[in-house]
Amino acid sequence: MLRAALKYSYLNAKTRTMHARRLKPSDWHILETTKDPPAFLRYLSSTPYAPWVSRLLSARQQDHEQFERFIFAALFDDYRKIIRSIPDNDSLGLVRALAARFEAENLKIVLRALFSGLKKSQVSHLLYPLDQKLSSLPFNSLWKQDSLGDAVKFLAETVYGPMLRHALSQVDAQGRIFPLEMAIDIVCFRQINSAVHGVRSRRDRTSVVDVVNSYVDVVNICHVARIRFVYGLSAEEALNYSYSGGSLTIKGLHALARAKNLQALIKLLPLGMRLAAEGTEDIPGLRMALEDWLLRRMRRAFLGYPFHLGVQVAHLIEKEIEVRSLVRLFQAKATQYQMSQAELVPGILLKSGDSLGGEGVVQAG
Amino acid sequence: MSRVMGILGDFKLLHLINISETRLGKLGYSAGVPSDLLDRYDNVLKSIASLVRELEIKGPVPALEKAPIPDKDIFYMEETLADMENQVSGCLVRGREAAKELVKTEELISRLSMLGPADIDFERLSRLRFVYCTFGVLPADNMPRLEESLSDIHHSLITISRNRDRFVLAAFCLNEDREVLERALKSAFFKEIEIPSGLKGTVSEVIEGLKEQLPALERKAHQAREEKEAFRERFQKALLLMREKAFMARLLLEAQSKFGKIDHTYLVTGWLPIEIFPRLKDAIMKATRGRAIVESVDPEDVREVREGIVKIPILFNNPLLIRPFEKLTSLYGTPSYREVEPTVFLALSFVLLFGMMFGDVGHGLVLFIAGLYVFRRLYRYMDYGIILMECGVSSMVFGVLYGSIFGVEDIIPAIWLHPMKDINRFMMFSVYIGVGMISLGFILNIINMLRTRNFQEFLSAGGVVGALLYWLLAGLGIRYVMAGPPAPVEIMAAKVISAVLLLVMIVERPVRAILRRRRERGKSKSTRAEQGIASMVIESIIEALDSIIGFLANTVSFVRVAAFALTHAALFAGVFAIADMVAQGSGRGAGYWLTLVAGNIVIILLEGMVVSIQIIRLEYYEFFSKFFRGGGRPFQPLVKQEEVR
Repeated sequence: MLRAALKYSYLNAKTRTMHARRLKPSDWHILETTKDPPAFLRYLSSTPYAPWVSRLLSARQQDHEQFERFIFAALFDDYRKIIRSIPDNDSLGLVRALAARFEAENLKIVLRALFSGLKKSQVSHLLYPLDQKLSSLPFNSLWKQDSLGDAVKFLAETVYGPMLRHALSQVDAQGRIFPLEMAIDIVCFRQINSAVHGVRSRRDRTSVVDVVNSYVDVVNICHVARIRFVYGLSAEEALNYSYSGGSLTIKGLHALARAKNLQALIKLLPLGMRLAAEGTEDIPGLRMALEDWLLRRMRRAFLGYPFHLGVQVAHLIEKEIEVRSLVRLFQAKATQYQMSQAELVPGILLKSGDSLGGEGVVQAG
Repeated sequence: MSRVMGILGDFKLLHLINISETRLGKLGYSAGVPSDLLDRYDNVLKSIASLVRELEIKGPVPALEKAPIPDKDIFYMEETLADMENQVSGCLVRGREAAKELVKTEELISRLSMLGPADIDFERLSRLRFVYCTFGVLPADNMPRLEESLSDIHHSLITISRNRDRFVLAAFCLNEDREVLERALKSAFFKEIEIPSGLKGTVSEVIEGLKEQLPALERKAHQAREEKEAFRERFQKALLLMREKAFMARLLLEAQSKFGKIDHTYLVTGWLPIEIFPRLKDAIMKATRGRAIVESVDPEDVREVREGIVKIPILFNNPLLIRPFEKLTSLYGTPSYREVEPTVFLALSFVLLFGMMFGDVGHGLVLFIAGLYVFRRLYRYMDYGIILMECGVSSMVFGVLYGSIFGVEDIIPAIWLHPMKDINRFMMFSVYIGVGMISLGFILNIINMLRTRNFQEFLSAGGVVGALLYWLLAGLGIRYVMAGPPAPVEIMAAKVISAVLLLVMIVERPVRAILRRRRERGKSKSTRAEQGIASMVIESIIEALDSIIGFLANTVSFVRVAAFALTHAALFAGVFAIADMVAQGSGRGAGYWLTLVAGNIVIILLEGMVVSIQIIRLEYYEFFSKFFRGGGRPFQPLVKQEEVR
């Protein structure tokens, strides 16, 4: 206990300070009621997101793609702060593995650009701003590759290498880049899963497994639903393209993949998720409901015994959901898409107060 | 015109003036580039490159004896190339096909070897009527999901072999479930092992059969290779020479964009050394049978040059031993046309200082040998080879003067002194060298002032007055060291003279400003804020004091020459001490000598580098800064040999 306290006291204080700087329900209410993107940004610049918004305002590029790029920098800043203070290598490995999802997104964009013959300047606005701390892939050299094949060869020595090599033959056969993108995501989640199991301290591992498994389950369920009902792929493809980790078994995922429609899929979900998702009619709704469930579940990490890695992981995932919600809301403003706030932001962000334990609930608006 | 271009190419030493920058060019009378001919040369170069690549031609680049005549030589080149391509193409196609077939067979063997452990009979497989089967490689981590995804159909996944991260699988299912199996395999990133249809026998039998085919295929490939080698021998020289010619012809054609043209008359203007002008004129007149006008114009007669709009390019023209140091001069800047070209001073002082700081017969010999090797073997770095050899000789000369061979000081007697034993004398000598170099800097600066007619700086700290003050102070110092303290009269005289010189240095700028303002008064109303006289005086006082301190610092800076010579000797002492410690443990065996050799290598590499850096610093900061203004334009000959390559 004393060791854990020594290990985590500074990091915990830091994480909880960052956590306390989340947007409040009143912020969400005002952001939703803003008239247009400039007003949205003006208000956001009075919140803890001010430094990143002011950078965006000074860049004078306020389209939604630029907004995403700038606002995600706030999340990466939290990643960097946590990485700087993390006490041991196995914990660091997990946080880095979580950050690697963004590196993977960038990698997919680069490969897509190579596939479609686009130049770096044409897609650079879509790339997440990652530095050496968060990404070790040599992107500059990657851009110099002439073709997808060369790029895969270039990546041979990275974690993505073996899987990409296998996926490349599918790209050749199918004439589309989808298999490569799936391969990258699969590797990424495999890394997270092995990083979770690589955490040595039992208490850390228990707390992290709870948070990360819940997160992976949500991602997997949405992913399977999208593959089945949006892309129209078969159950076996949905299962093979699903991600490692999480508490759902392969059999459970297969059952979900075999569901005839979304309602049938929801009926097959574990109880807690099913209750949260009941009544949703489309995949965005399902995702929102599951994110809401995930956020409630992750709140447990902040309760009780405080000295464990779950706090940091939960904060990072929660922050990511907050940032993604902000992006969705901004995109809706930018495209004048009429949608209620509840359809764009998980309910819990709109309802709960800033208390770490969820007590002292403040009703939105 | 093409013959004239050939002559210009032969002469090489012509720095073309771009006509488009002149009045004539701005009026549209530019010759332009003959794009059709350029395209033809591009095609020729592409064909040559392809032949050179295909025939794997490598070797020294031949020197061109005569520049090409672009619009005539193209016909010969095109014809010769077409002929060569005709002769070579059959052999190349045969070689490619043989290599392709060989690779294909080897790949098939390697693919089939993966199925080796199962030793499948392909004939029996082909007889399966209701069962679909495929072979391939699967990432090991994907196996559980693949198994589960196929749980709804009758199937069989047979592992033929596995290693750390992959399975070699045989996947079977009923024909009616083939689509499901294929979808599942595809999504599990299953990489199919392609097996050509019509194979008969077991895997091992098929591999055996393929292996038997290999020698024949190899023979075929070998035959094609030999044929290719014969062609290489035959065409190597001609192709490389043609490539050089085509490159040069292309350069000459591109240079045409700088020519002027009025109807059928071309105008070529440029800079060239005056000595070669008569020869160039003769050659052109002969080639054009007198239908050309070749004139030389003195730069002073060109208005743009007088006004400084056009800069005269500088052609370094030093003897072979000095030429490598031009690189060091250029690194600092390109001297302007009227400035003294300082490479010769830099080269001499560099070699002298290097020898002083790195004086050792053995080390000098090592440097000389290294330089000789670079000079003879590494053509591109020939200049550095020359510098190394010169520094080596200087090092050996000073080694003899110091009596040092690989740090051993008792083999030959010191003709002059031992740096470690005669420190004060050596330091004084370094300072004298410094005084000499700084004085040379002042003299060169005065010459530059005269040549550029920059008389207004004459009385400044960098001009005659500064030089006189420096020499006065230096003279006093040398007098003190050599003959003891100066007499009171001498001190009084020095005080008076230095006070006068200082006063001149302080007031020359304000006085010039007052005179200038007086001259300009009434002529035009200046809108710019002028500096006050008082502040100018204060600035001049500070500048004068700064100059005096600078003189002192610059001179003292040369003490480093002695300091590094001492370091050189001290490092030897260190190496010998370490070697002795090794000898105490194990006697004067291999360890002792290895330590000495390693120590010497470290000294040569490390100290050689440090000494070079220090000399460059002295040259640039203490010497060049006194007179070198730069801002000149390097001479760019019409065709550089490197460009052709």
